[in-house]
Amino acid sequence: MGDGGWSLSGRLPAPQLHDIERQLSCGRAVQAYANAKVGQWLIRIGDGIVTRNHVHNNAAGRPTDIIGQVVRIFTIAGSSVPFVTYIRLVRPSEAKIRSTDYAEDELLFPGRVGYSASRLDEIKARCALTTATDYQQYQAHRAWAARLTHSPLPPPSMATFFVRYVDESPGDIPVGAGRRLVWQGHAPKDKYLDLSSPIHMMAFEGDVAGLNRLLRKGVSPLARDCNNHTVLHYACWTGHLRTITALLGRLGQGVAARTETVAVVKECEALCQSLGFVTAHRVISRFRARLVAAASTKRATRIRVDVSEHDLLRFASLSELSHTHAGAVGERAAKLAHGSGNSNDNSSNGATCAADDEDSAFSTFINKRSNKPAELIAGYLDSFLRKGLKGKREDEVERTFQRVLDLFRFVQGKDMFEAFYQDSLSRRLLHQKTASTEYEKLLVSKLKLECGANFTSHLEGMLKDIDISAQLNADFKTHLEVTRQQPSMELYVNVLTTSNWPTYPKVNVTLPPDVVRMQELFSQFYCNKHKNRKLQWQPSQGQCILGASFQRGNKELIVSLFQAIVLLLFNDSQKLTCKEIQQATGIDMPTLKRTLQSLACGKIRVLAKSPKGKEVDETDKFIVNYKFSNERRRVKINQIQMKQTQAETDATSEKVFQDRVFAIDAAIVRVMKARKTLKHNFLLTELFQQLKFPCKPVDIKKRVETLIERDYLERDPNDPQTYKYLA
Amino acid sequence: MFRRSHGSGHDKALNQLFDKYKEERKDVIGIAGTEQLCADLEVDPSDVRVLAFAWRLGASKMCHFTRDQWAALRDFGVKSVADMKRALPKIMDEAIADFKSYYEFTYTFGLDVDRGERTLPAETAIALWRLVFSDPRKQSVHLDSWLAFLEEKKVKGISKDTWDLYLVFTETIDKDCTNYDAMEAWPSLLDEYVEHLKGGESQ
Repeated sequence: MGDGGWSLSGRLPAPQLHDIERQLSCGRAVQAYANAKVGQWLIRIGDGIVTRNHVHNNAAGRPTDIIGQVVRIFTIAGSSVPFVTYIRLVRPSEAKIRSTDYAEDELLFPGRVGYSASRLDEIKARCALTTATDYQQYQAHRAWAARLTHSPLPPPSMATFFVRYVDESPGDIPVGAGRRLVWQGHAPKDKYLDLSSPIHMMAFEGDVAGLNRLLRKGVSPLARDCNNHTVLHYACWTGHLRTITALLGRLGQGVAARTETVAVVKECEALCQSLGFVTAHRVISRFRARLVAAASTKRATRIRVDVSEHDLLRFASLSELSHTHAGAVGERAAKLAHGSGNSNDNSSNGATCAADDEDSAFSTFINKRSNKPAELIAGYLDSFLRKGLKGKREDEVERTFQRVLDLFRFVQGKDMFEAFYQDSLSRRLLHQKTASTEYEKLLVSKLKLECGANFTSHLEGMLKDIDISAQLNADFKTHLEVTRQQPSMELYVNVLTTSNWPTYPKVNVTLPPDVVRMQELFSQFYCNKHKNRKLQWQPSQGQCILGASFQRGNKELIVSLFQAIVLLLFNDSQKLTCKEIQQATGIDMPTLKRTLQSLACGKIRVLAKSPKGKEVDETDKFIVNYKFSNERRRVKINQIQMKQTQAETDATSEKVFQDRVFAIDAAIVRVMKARKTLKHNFLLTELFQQLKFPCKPVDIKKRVETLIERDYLERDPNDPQTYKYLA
Repeated sequence: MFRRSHGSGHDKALNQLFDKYKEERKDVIGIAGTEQLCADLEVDPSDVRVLAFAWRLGASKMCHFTRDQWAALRDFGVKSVADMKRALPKIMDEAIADFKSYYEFTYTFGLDVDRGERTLPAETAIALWRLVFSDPRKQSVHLDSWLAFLEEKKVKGISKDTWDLYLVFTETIDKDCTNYDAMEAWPSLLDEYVEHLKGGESQ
């Protein structure tokens, strides 16, 4: 270190300086400063750090300022070593620096340089760049840099400034043109000194347009700078998502050897995690997973064969999740996959490979029955949330969710899951079957974390509708009280946003006058409150509580709206035939027959049918069963489910398949709109990336063909492998 | 009468020829006129030469020639029916030389636009395929099995895309389809055909 030529300023804590010296490989940097002559320009070059400062004469001699400068590096970059690698002395004639630089330094690091306030004002006034926005930007950079003191990160302000200085330095190159010239190879590289190449800078600055241009020119995203950092590293330091995706997109096209790519991507993944860039981290890890999966397909196939031969049958029966514990199956299956993975990998690479292979092997394995797992998991969750929660502690429930999600992660066709889950959730919510709304919300939030906000927006919307409805009904009650309207019955309305819920068929039934009146009151109330909204009643989803007096006491019957309408008819008549009931209610015959069956032929018979029998005929006569008895006061009469479970399942799958067709169409048009012309294979690759469900090339081909027929696309007349987008 | 060249003796003869076949009410040659023309030329209306003739004239649909389209005959110095007869082989040569254009024309020619057809019914397509590949100079090795496949599978319609790509297919792919790759952008019907072909072999 300097030997008495200068001394520590009181402002600077000694340990820091000591650190610097140690880190600067024998104090070369400090030495350089110490040797610098007054009036010389110093340029420090490090990993992304570039700044220049005028070593100038002041009353206390040069050391004060120099120390200030040196320390500054490390206050920004934390305690990490690699950023100041060497220092170079440059004469003013070699690098033209404007006098405003110093002022910027001061603005960036107030107090470090130690100007007096009046001097600072003077500098500010002189400095063309220090507009309010600039200053804010600097402040933002500073805050940013401070947040990351412990991460291996060059301060972005420096890098940004660097490029700007070069661009804006007085001389031949006009503002902003410098970088462009360097990209195109016109300007001498020297102008950027030995620092990272422009592409690194672009990545660092988040200049996606520039980056893409360079990538298209064939610059590799894995190009390394003098410190062996790749372009991807630079992007990860900033966490700028678009930059990262641009680079990954290029990497995905197989720019470099696989092992290197995987290593770099892994490094960057860790980097993003340590810096707290959650989304970037997720994007990169997903990319890595795909990379590894693609590379280990061969091995995975081998594993798959083994697994499928020995254990698939066992697993297939296990995976009927509605009867089994999903988590347990997950573990079991994971173990199976694990075992096979290991046995196969003994000969091949290390533990990481084995883990990756396991993942992909397990994934192929669980998706053998393409859409079934998604459906079954949704089914399991349904039964769990209905009754499985009983007597479970919170952490147990949460663990179950976690295990289900662990399994779910491997399942392709998440859209299928969404459809089934939405269906079952709607039933739980509307028929008060759910054991706990809190857990419903918890699960949805977990799904959101797993699959992103897009995936759960409908589900969240449903839960929200139910919440809002509770408030709405309270408001309605007060509204009735205020307007002194006597409710003839209690009405609770769930107002559902159509787009969030499954579609219900429109049914027309004749409702009792009391119900109609209440509906009208509510409609008025609601439409006053929310103009431009339309209410459509869904009688098929209604539920009623009826008071009923039988010979052996009064009961409360919990019935569906249809059941209630039928029962209410018996207030006015003793005996009704099926046909008469149908005319009075307007319920369609099959539904009515089922309803009557549930009332007269089930376990709980509030109606008596003649002639007796299990089936209902149109001419059958019904009377009230006055002798009805039940030990409970509140009696729930279940609806008879149509033998519809299979049909319903098919309908839901069918709907998902329909949606997939649209999704494919939309994705094709989206891609083609962006690319204008694209080769068939590239289109496929893009689509596989975009679509979140498994689909075969043939499916896509067929969609492309219909799009060609509908004049969205055309084939390039000279190259049948290429499609063109028709605006 | 011709827009561009009034009065030259040559055009006059051509015009008179047109007038001979044209419909009474409209200034086009319709079905009756076409039949008469074929009879005079001593060719069957379903002969490939009629197809090539229509292609050369740029007819937009079957049995429908306008006066403007008719004017294309001037390139062959047609003044009489006998001239036309002599021009037919020449037209056929041109069609074979410019086969892609001729082939792709055949599809639009076959479409019954008046009935709002956007895809060619398989029956028509099969007939046209046979026709367009009937010249010995331009044959398709796949034709028979392809058409048999279409009939067997009871395909309803053939899209323009499939039609156009069949030409590329039959020109680039060998008879046993060994160099066929389903991962390429072939229409799915061709994928199925090749699969059918290979499946049939292995059985």
